[in-house]
Amino acid sequence: MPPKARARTGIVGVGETEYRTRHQENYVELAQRAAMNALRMAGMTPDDVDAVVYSMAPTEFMGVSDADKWAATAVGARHKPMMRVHTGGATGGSAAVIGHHHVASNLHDVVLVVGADKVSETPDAQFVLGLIWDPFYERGFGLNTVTQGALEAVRHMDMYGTTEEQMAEVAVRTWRRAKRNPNAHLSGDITVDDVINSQRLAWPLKRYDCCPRSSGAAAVVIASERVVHERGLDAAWINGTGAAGNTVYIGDRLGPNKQTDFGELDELRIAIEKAYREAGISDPVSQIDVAEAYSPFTIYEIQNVEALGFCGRGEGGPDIAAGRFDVGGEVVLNPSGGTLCSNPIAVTGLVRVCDAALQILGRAEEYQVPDVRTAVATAIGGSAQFEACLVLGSDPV
Amino acid sequence: MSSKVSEHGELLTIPEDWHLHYDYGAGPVASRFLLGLAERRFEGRRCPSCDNVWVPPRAYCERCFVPTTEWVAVGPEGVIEAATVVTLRLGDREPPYVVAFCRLDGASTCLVNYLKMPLDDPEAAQRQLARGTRVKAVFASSPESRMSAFHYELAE
Repeated sequence: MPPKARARTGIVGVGETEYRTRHQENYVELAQRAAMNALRMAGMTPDDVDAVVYSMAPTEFMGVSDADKWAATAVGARHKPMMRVHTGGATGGSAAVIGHHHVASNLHDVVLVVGADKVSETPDAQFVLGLIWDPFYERGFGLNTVTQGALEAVRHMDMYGTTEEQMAEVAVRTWRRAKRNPNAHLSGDITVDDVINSQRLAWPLKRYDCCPRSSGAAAVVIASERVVHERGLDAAWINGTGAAGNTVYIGDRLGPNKQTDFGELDELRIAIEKAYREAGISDPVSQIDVAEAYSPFTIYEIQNVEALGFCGRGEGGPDIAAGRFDVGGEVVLNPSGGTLCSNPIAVTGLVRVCDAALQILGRAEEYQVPDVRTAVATAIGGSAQFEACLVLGSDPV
Repeated sequence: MSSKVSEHGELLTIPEDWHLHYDYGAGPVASRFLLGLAERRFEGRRCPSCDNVWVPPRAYCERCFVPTTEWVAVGPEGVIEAATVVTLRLGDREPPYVVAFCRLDGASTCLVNYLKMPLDDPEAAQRQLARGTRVKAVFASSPESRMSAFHYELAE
């Protein structure tokens, strides 16, 4: 089916906070700071916003049920349409896709997508993450995001021979890139041995294979082509979006009758392929300059580069270890340090979109990659069951 | 509970704990499956359209979107599809322990549970958990109508 006619949209404002264990502000003040930062970049005020999409994952992390209610007026939604998007870890990516839909549909000209999280205000985050499984069959048997990531890694290693050392290379390279991003929660010079010798969580994942629990906020302002031109704004054009959902049951995605394999993020492939089709991406390595990939665990970075078509299935580990996706490489992967170095869950997918947009807009400062014309952002949530992808460009397609 | 001043000086944190209780309605399909576990029996649901045997059983085949129509006995042996040795405390359970997705004989899909085995050497244990390794479900001496009625062990 050919894509339906849609209005062109662009990201004209980006707002981020630093990602840390704690902030001085309370939750809504944090969300407000990101919203105001994004509006300031766009040269706008809340009066210019037609609708708000609120990016909020499980609220038990920060402990106020459905915290979008608390945040509504703090982010400028007074007397405006507002909706919350929640697809687990994919939330921020999904919220950006929905914000794009609001404008691409010609129903709104300016949409603010914003959210915040304070994951470190509870020590019980893994307990909350374990509540996504149903109470009859799967809950209570050790499933949480860490064991889920471990099982994905086990599967990938089993199918393709991916090694602990290759995953360690992901951490080393990601932490190094994060040094240029002052907002990154973790950064620094670590070695493969540091990763291999760090505390073991669930085989094969070790401490440095895993993201931190972060607090922070993020926002983008999405505007119609008309507003971009009337106001003379710089835009990171949203040239393609895709999303896919699937069953929560990991066990349905294993075995000979699977449709997608739990070890391969095949659902992400579906979302990426749709976004690529819309954006006219047929040769990702040559057409894409930067990828902000959702990788809370090192294995996800390997799965992402495969799903993004930067290499073949099973080649992600060796190719990352060979430096193909370092700064100066064929595609620069997570120049911000990505999710492995900062994970404010409710907005992590939106941070990917923010950092991809900043690269297009030439405003990523210390971590700017030269001459970025096309960037891609991904997000993954639930039991790796919800996925979102956005392709951004310096020119509209 | 009283508030406390954080390391930032004049900034307060307010502590709170939640306690919630639920009585989850399992529905007819999960109820029969779980009651079956108390009788040391595994059953899946077959889809009349794609022939998949869904374990854990579902009332609908979520691929064909038709009602499943037939109960099918599965297990009690099967194979590992993915398993991990957990060595850090991530919840209430004392590590080390193994989380395993196993496909019971006759089932199309996998059921998660703990797999009990010697874990003195976690890495050596992990090497015994390759995809396709045979396992058996072992029931508790007085199994209840819930998934904790059984665990997996490596088959002889």
